[in-house]
Amino acid sequence: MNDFMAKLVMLQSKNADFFIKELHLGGMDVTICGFGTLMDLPKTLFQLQGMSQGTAASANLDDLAARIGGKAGLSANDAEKAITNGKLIAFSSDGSSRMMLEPVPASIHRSVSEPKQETVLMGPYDAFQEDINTNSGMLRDKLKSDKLLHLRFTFGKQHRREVSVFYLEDQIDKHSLEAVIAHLRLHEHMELDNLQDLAQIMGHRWWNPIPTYLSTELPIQGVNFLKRGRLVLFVDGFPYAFVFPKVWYDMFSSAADRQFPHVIMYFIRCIRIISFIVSLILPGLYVALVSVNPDILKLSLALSVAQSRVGIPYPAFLEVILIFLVIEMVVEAIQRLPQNIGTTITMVGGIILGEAVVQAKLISNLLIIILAATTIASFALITIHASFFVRLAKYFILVMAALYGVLGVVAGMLVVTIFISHITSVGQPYVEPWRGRR
Amino acid sequence: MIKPLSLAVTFIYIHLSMSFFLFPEFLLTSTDAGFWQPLVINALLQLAFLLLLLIGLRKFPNRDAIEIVNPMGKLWSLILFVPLAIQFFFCALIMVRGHSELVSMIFLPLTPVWLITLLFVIIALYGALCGLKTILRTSLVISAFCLPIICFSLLTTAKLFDIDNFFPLSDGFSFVFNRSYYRTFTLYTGFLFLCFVPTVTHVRIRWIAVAWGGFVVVLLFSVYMPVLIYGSESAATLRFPVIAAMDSVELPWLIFDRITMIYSICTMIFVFLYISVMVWAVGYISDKLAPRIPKRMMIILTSAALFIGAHFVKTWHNVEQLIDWTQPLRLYSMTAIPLGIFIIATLRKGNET
Repeated sequence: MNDFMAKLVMLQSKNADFFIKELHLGGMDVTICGFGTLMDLPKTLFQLQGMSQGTAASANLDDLAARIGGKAGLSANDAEKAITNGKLIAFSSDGSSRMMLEPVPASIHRSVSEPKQETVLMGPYDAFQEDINTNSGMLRDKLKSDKLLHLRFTFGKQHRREVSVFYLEDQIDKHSLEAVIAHLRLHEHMELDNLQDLAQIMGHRWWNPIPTYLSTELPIQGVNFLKRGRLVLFVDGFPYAFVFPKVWYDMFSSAADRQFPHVIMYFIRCIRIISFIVSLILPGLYVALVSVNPDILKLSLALSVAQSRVGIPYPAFLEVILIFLVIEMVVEAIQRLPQNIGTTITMVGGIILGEAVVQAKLISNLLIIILAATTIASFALITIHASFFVRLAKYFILVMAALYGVLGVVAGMLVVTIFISHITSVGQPYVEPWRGRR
Repeated sequence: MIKPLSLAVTFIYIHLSMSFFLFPEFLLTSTDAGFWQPLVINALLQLAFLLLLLIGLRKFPNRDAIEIVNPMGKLWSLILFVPLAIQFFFCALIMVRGHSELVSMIFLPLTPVWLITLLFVIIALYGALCGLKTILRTSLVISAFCLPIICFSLLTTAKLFDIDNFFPLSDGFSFVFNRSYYRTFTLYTGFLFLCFVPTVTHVRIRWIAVAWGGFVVVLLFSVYMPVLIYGSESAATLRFPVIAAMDSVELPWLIFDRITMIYSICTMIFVFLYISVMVWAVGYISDKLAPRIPKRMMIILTSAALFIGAHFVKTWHNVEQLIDWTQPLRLYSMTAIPLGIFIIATLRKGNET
């Protein structure tokens, strides 16, 4: 028994779903093996028998492979990889020659379904799902062009994961393409288990809260980005298309906006830009105007602000921090819980935040309004990453406001702007608008 | 489109950031009437040197000033750029100290001044560490919000103008003998940061010329605004004439008590960026002249020196003294560097061909 056979026997002894079967196929005795859970074995066998019937007996395995569409001349190493990838391996009884066969796959992938996280307004309802080949097929189906090119990479030493890169040859920005391919080639040995790994592969720094990729689950979005000269990347097992490079403006614009007339589109985008600014500075501005610079406001306004805080026993900064912590917890809790319990949290949170804290004179009325405006505004941005970023950055501005008042708010905004300006996504500066091919 | 625009905007605010606090006061005290004369003469002088510098830089595309001068011998680089670095440092110091005083006056009367200085220094340090590319990009984003607000608040003062105050048109050229006149050069040296821009982005003369025109108009406005409101004699007695003039504007429909507030906040952002550029330039010069000291280290050291230096400038009188002391340095940098780069670039180009 040679090495290959020994390995197979060992695999069988350790895996309950690994099978080795003797088979008479096309006038030859062959042995087949593979993982039973990755393929539909009865159907596969039925198909194989059907294909090999009615012809003269094959002389050797290569001959048989040519007839039933297998890949012959496989090395022992390749055969092992193919087994873990869900392929069927057939070999002669001594194990010296091997071929790979494509089995009928087990139905372990869900079918194409509606998008779960992105809403579709007046567009097709299909969404990407976990299987990389299905995703690739969906993209090709939506963008029927011979300029659409496809590169395939495999990541990881222990656990292999496939990554597909798509781009339009005549539209792609060459710098971005080179940068992406260089990053992928350089890190092919790395394990790719989660999106943090993906970000790291693409040169993302750990301290940067803004991801340098854009994710979408809508094929129509992917096509839109491809046409504008960006790359679309699929990672096997993730129901998203990752778009590189990402720019700041993507926070405010979405392909779905283009389903509306131009004026409406710009109106929506203006609203999002205002939301961005509001959710960043409003809490800081409250602290600045209440505790550091009340003299900036007109007297009547300053008085009404001061009046709303009468009887509140701690400084404005603490007041804001406390109530914002509560709202962050509510947001986090609702995301974790199943939908039918989530409403309970909404209700309890609503009662606490809406009425009780104000009546107990713990939080001012004005702050509740600011809290609501900030929270709503932070979720008006396009991606969930964008709203996470503004949720985080507002605390920095809050601290600056507590120290330096209105000047602190502005200085904080400046620091945030410098920070955003410093980021690049695969070579493309983050704040510069995307202009496609350079 | 993006890059030349952000450079032009940077050019404007580098001059603008100073033009509202120190500059009008100096100009108003330098002569009794006809303020446009010293202003226009200085601006034209600056334009001449600016063009010399740009033409010199254009002869060697994608090379900065130091790279152009270096092949002629290290000595020339040292003679030209060490004073420039010192000049940049003192510019930053004057800005930091002057503006922390101003912030303390307008916004934060209870906060200790060193804490305000610290804010200026830390933000400048962060900007400088991120590099000029980042600062240029930031400038564009920030200007999109701030320049309209600044223009708006300047224009609101127009309703108080008394055109009679514009006359007499001239008061002769006696200002040449006035010390205040020479203090105004503090503003005009700002353009020297362009020496180091070519490695980051291409400098287009047309854009810079337009930016120059823009800032001269704003400058004229900032000088004549207090004059047109208060008359030249009373305007000259004010400490911060622009701020005082703007304080007299009343807008019932605005939620802010005084328009000065939003105006000063917007200009303060530009001051932060200005100091960033200066600190970055000091780091860049030291990196080119003494590559053994890491650039980041030098930038951090410069910022620390700024903070400590600002501590020693105790009063407003000290700030003015500092401006007077560094005057020769400024005049030297403003004239010698454009001339030097122009001559050296022309000579080298001649030798090569």
